[in-house]
Amino acid sequence: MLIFLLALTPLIAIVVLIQHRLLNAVIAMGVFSLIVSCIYFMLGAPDVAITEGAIGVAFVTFIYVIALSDQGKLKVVAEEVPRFLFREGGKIKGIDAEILLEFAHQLDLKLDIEFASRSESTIKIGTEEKEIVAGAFHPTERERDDLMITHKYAQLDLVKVTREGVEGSTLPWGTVVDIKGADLPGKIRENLTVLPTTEELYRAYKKKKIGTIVIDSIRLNKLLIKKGDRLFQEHKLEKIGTISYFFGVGKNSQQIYRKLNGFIEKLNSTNAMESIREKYLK
Amino acid sequence: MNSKFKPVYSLFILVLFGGMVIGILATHTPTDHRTGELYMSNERSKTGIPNVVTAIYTNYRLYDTILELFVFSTAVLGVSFFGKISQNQTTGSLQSAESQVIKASSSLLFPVIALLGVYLAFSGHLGPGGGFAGGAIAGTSILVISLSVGADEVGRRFHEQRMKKTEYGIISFILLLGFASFLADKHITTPGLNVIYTITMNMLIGLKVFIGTWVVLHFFIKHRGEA
Repeated sequence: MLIFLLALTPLIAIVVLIQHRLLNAVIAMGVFSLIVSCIYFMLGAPDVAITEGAIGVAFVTFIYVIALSDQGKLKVVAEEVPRFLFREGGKIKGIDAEILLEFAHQLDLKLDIEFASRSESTIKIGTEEKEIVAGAFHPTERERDDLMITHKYAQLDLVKVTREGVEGSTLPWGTVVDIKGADLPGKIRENLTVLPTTEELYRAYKKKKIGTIVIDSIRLNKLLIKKGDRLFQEHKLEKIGTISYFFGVGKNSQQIYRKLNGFIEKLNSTNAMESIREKYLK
Repeated sequence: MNSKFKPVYSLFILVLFGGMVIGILATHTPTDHRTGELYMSNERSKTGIPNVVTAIYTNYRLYDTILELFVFSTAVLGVSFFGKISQNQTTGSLQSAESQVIKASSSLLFPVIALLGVYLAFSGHLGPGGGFAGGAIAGTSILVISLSVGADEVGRRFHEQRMKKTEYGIISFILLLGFASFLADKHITTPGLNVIYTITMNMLIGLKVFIGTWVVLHFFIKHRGEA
């Protein structure tokens, strides 16, 4: 029996080493301590056995479990955008969701997504230790400095919505995505107000504080689906350019940035990204 | 990271150190048994304590025990030092467990585990157990009760600062006891008195380890998830 237990210890040690999940390794460490405790007892040292049991099996395992319990999460903050990242029947779906879920699965992390408005998202990277900004994310110039931006993974049309008959009016243009980095004719870039949410954009447009909306087609869809009123039907939609989407990663998460970038590059080079895009955008 | 190679390196270290330990055990044969034999043959009649291990660590080898307590205190001090630095950004705290089963069973188990800890510390002179194991078990039992009522509530009941002061008080007291016998230059020779002394010592050690264990666990709970 003693020989059996002694032979078991190196085996358990190897089991600890080859565990992929840290929690499993911690549990196996507890088992190791338990066996060692039994060995002490059989060798006639019950005092040591009890101490090993109390410290090795209970105390150390507890400490590791507590320390691990909040780690092992990929912390994402995102704006809810249809087709890219949205909730449906208690599940999170969309292009971003599929990419991030697969990525988190590869790193053996749990995906933890918190929804916030567009402007809040970037702030939360700094203040709440979030790691990734997602949700059809297109960075502003300032965000390009504050965050690390991955390769683009999707591209959509940029649409201009104008009221009939107000062409050339002096009302400012409004948008929610900062499109300064987008592929656009030069004159649009001036006189552009960036509003924090699509709701506010819509309200401002309705109250005629802004004359023209410049918006990517996916967020325009969100407005159309939500409102469904006649306002937009009377107005002229016009494609003026394209806009690309990226993930933003906090400056503190260098490793995640490198891995995510490599992951997206790999998806882009194979058909995988194309099929994800097709699934949601058709 | 190169996660593929990590197990290989770890296995290499395992084999290396395992080989060293086995090699030492195989080649080294202790030649001098005299000290051990002296303790084993004379211990019962001199100290009146049935458990040889306890007799050794509270009588013959008290300084070893004191230094062990110092090592443990240093560990606790280190944990609370690094906990203090990031105290202003504390956010997470262990809420009480969500499952009703765990809640109910942990409040049922708590008195049993705590009593076991106290019993082990108290009966250290009679059988296996002693201050260290008893204190660690009692400290872990506080974690069990914090699953039931929440760590914040437990933190309020066991006031941390006061606990730490008590801990240092106990260390100085044990140190004082040790030095007292050192200055008097003789051990307590009456067996009956020695039993009382050993129980006191075990309880003090147990209390000290209990506080240390709880402080460490509490800091880990409070600063959970800070990178």
